[in-house]
Amino acid sequence: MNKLSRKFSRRHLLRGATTFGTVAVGLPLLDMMLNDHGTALAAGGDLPCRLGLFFFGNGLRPEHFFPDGAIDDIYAVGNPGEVKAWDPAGKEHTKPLADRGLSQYCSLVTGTSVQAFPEQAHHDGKNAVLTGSYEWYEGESELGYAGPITPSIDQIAAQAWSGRTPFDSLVLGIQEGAANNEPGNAGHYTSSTGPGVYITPEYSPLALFERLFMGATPGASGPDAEKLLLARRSILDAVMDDINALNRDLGSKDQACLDQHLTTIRQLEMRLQEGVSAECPIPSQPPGDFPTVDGIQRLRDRSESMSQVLALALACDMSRAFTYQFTVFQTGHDFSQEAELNVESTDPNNQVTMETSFHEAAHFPEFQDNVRVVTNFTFDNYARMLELLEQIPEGDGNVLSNSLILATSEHTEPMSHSTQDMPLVFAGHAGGRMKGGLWYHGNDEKVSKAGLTMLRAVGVETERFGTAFDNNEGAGSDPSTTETFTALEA
Amino acid sequence: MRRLLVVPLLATPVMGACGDDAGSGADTDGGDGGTTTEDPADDPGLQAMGTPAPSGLKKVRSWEYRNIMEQLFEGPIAISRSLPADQVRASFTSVSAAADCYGPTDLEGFELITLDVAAQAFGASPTPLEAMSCAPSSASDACLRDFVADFGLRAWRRPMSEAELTKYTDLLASLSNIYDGDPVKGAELTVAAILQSPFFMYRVELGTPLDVDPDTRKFDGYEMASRLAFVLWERGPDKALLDAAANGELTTEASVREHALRMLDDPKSIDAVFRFWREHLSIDRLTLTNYPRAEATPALYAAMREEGHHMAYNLAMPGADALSYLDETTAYLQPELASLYGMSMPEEGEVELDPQRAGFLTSGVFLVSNGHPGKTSPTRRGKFILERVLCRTIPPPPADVDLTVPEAGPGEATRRELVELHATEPACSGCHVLLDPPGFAFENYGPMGEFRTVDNELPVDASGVMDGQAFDDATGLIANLKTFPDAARCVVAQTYRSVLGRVEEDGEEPYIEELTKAFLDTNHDQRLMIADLVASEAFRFASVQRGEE
Repeated sequence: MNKLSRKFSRRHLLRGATTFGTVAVGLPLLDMMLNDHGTALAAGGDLPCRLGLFFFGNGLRPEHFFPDGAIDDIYAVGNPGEVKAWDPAGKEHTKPLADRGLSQYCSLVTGTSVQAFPEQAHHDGKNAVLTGSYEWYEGESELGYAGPITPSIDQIAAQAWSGRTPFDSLVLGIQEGAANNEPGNAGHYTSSTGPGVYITPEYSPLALFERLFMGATPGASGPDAEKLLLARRSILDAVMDDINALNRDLGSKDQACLDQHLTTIRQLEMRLQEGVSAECPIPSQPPGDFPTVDGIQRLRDRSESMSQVLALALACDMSRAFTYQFTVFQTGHDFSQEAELNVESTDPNNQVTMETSFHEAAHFPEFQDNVRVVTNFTFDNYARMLELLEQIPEGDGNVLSNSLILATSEHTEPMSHSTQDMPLVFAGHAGGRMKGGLWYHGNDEKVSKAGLTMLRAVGVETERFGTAFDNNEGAGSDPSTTETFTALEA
Repeated sequence: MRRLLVVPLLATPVMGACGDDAGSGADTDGGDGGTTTEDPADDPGLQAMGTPAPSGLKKVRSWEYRNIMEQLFEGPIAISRSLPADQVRASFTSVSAAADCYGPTDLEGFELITLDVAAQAFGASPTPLEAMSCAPSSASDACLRDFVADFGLRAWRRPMSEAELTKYTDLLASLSNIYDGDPVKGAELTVAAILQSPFFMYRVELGTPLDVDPDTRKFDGYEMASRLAFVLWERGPDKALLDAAANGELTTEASVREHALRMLDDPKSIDAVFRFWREHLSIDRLTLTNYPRAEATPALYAAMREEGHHMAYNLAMPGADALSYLDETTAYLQPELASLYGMSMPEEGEVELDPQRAGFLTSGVFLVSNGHPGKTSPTRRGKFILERVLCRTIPPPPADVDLTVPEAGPGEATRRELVELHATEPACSGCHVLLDPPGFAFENYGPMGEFRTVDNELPVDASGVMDGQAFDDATGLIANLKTFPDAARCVVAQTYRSVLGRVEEDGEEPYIEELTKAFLDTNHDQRLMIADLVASEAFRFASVQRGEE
């Protein structure tokens, strides 16, 4: 078993960028693990690369996203295969990336398509970009059992890296809820282990904080805490034994659930054993509650807290694969109560007037200006998350430069639900393996190339990303790929 | 306000508690459950024409978890952290419980919850050990093994195997050692361990392949005890069910039916049927978060949900006509809602509705949650009727089509006319020809459910033809719907989905057809139909395991 092995004898403190209030946090742990040149782990091995997904539901306004002179109807136009410099400041949606000084880290890809079933709006686009595959149904039923057939990008990395960090992956969500008009609906989340198996996101920054930093001994210390820790580990061992016993005679779907169960318990047991969280500088705790307005969530404050906890988790090398589901697939969120967007906000150009589900309203032409405002807001939250990573130095770069993160959605334009020219915004240099500041326009290339590009860049060797569909009649489509966007690679 | 059933006193078989034989000798592979009057080895296999559903693990839903804690510890237990949110697939939480996994956060939460639950139970008087007259002086005291066997049986809904019993008794001893040899602390923590085990966390009802037909699995007595308890009572099996399983019962149709009828005669069964209607009709979804509307207030939505709950509760009572959800003319209203309906009520209560309203389809819950802000959606209302009332399948709108319905100035066109205009586009007409007639029937009800005869300054036309039967307005359509064969069949199919935790496939259709016949013969008695269902092959057998196909 690949045990967690790092121990640190002293705590370095840094008056830092990523605190809650003014509390000092420890120097990012990785710097303590580096060799004298700051180019590799002292214990051997390259600097870790993180892989992240930032997902937002229901697309964007193409005219506020694709670079100038490059848009025809709703699609981007360029010379296939051409690579140019990209300035995110040129368009409203991506301007926050420039405003927060992140342009050099970011690249845009256009000229892609799903190349899978053009039948199921939302679903095909999401599955193609996140998993390189298609929707899975159990048996013949098209009711109730849908999900992607293969794992999402983050979970492929998590499986490849399993055991190297206290958490194989962090799956986080900001907007609580699920697909539009089906509140409480299961599934259709961003991160999945396939077939049909989703990981429910963690929506609470406080709960995430507790898992990361307080997990070993919640609210206790002293000899009793030590005893309880031992007892919990003994119990978890017994539970793992039962999971293995049960898993011997199950079908594939149930096995996938129990595999997830076993992984969770095993990692919990390892954390209790190693006491990793005690070694990581513990920031002050984030708020546990984010007030709603008329029962409607506000996303900004929650995203700020979540991003801060995430930044520390990555800096402390507690996980290297993450998903940040800002809004859910087909989001039905009502953005009108967001303090900076509501009709009382000071900027008349920045108001959400529709007091209803984003997906529902985004079908209608009269609400497209709201789609513009909402997407600007979404990208600013993305940029803020990246900014927090960028502010943590690491080696001769920072946590962002040692990461590769993709922002995407399940389609492009919400009135048509078009899956031509899927939104693909990369951020981070993957430890020097990715350039930045580029716009690559593909020759109607598979959108799944984004996934393989990411996996290869962070060192996960895999020949193919996704899987082809072959129906009973022999016809099929193939959203999977063996190619990457080489123009973006350093 | 709620009426309670009169519960007949039951002759409960007497059985020893601590040290009973139920805790030993059984295997974990789903054997025949001990000495038996029914011999499943002789089972000839399936007799009916269907193919039963595959078996698989199911998560325990939050209210089941709470019920089980009170059941296991015979008293109130506070759950210290939030339980995982119960999600929905195909309308039902049971379908999600079978289809979805626990997430990492859920599982880590359960670990802490069980430690807290066990501490509460052992801080109460009597403790679970005292309740069994077990006062151990050390971890090797024999009564501890009996305690583990008894608690394991009730928590896992089957006897522990000898190996499991030894493992957990050993665990108890090593936990005691951590606490300086305190056997009571060891027992407390062992309780937490048993509750963290996947054998507790999931309903493990997999069935055993039949000798005569290895492609068919049959649920053994303990598995049937668990299935009946979860489906009819939303908790684990009671002593009578566990005793029956120990005695080799619950393996024949007659025996299962007998227990099902006993359980349906108990008020605990009301919750399950009540929940069915709330989920089937998506009553609890009507919240401001899900359906923000400028005209809505929390109190109005609460009144609408209460009207729905009252109806659902009446439908859950013995002898109810399940199809009365379509045309029930009394409703429970609060003054604010009555006023929206054009009626005047000084205080809340049950009233006779105005003639233009009947049943769920003219209620606020349906009319608001199948609409848009500020405008009606004949398409959504029609879709609900086709899918939820008649269980017909509508394909989703194709990608890359314009779903926009045109707008009109004052007095220019009604909503119906605008939707009709949109629906003439070839890409849209195929579905709209099905969706629109039942949807247009409700144009007399505005976006908030208010009655209207005028839309955009023009008279409303709510007439139409569906399945060859003409109607003038919604109440006419509703009267027609009630005579459609698939309206009754759909209640049966939805009940089947809720009970089985899945959407049926072709091989299961014959079961639904058979149940529908009896359902029609009993004036749509859903409880009798549920008894038929749980006693039938569809519930007592499985084809393969889920994911094995």
